[in-house]
Amino acid sequence: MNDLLHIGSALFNHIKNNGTIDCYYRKAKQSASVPYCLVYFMTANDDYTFNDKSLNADYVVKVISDKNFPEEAIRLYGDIHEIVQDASLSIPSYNVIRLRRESILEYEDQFHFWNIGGLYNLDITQQ
Amino acid sequence: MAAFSGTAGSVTCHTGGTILSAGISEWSLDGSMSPVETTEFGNTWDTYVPSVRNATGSFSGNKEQADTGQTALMNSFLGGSAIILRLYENATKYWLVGTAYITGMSPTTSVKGKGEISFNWQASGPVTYN
Repeated sequence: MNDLLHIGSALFNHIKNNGTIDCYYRKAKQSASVPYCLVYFMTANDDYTFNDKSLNADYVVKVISDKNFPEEAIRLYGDIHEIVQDASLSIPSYNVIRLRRESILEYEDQFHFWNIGGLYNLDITQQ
Repeated sequence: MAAFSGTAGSVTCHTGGTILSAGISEWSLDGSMSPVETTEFGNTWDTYVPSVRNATGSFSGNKEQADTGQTALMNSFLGGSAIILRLYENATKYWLVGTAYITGMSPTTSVKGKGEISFNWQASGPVTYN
């Protein structure tokens, strides 16, 4: 499970260090001011060869906004996407093969916050 | 009797030294024999005597561009040269193909996947289990 900590940390820090809005992993703090970016893990599959292993993991990266309309979140997420797509993360003991968006999400939650983002697939293989 | 896990398998090729082929995730060996029919008048069942055996197989996995084992296999195919193959079931038990020719090679790359490669081989002469 340490692999997931390293991967999540690498992705989160990459967005935090390069993005223009606050970024949180898993969940935002209670006093977080919108808009902000949220990153969380969805699922991962292990893939083995005789000598090493690979990991294929999905992460959600999204922007949360409290505006009436989603345009602000869409614009901010566009900036975040530029940072995340094909990013060369540094993950201990692994080589990053690919980090790419697989799908886009957009919805208004029950508190009328816009959630705009994407599902990103990270493919890494053991060094 | 106990089944065994395939996790400790491997493929090595020998072209002067033992070279582990990295990135491989599966191998197969297909042995066959074509017995000679000796059925005679009066027989109520077909009869056969054993004849020559033959072995072919394949292995595949991730393409590793810098791996010396995969490079040796590719060069064997491109140059038409023979190699010695060992197909390991685990750390100690393996099938030895004393003379093998790489008869097919299929590297693939797709935009959404990893680079992969597969090899087909043909034994020339005996295969032994060690």
